[in-house]
Amino acid sequence: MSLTLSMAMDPSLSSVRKAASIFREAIADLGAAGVRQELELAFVEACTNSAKHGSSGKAGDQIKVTLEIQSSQVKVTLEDHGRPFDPAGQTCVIDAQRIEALPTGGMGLPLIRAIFDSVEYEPLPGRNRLVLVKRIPGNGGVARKVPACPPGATPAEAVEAIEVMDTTRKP
Amino acid sequence: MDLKTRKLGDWKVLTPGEARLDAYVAEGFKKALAEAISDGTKCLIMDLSGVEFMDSSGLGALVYCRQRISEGGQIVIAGAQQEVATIMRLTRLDKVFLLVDAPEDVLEKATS
Repeated sequence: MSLTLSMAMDPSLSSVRKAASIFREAIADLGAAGVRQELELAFVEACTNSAKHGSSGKAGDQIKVTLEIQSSQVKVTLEDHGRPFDPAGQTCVIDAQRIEALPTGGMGLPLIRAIFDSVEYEPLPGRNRLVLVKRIPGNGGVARKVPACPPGATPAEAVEAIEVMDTTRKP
Repeated sequence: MDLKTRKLGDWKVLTPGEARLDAYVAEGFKKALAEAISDGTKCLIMDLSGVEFMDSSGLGALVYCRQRISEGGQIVIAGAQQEVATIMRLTRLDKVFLLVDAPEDVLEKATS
């Protein structure tokens, strides 16, 4: 199984939903259900962070999302135009005995770090690049043939592009 | 957000009308929760059996509600699908919210 997909996403929360739908479809045949659920959660957290904080304020800013999916690993690359940040800097302390001190936000990056095996951040001129890698244990993989998704495609266009052919269902 | 409400003994049961509790709906979810407990409700059951996905924003709204209820209050999560149970486990908030299979289980636990 090998799939590479790039999409350009508006920095909006509705776009995150569309991107999540694409991601869910892309990993549908990968690993155990629990792994896929955790991956979707971490992917949504990363996209939500970019949608909320990844714009420079200029009209037309978009978030570039690249998925590289193999039977043995999932790699997600996100590029946005937000301010530089430290992905290791945000911590989240849960103390069940102190209800008043529980966090109502800031859990996204800790979740991303907990789920992905590798979280690499690279500040680039005028943009941020976050590379997330998750190794998939014991997946045999299913070969999929994916039509090319045009660079800069909107999530809706990418959804159409990701209408894939499952080669295990040959007539 | 549409939040269905019913009474179950001394508990108020809330059922979100959304399958995804994510950042897109989190603010509306939080407002609906605040309104639901504005009458002084202390014992709340969140029936999440119809929720297929919840991220940290949705979970944050539940924490916010728990803090508003404050001392003497409790929120029980009923019918959590694996997706919801996953984020509860990863954030360790399953130590804060009791998880049960169905709202009625709360009454059984209270009488047993």
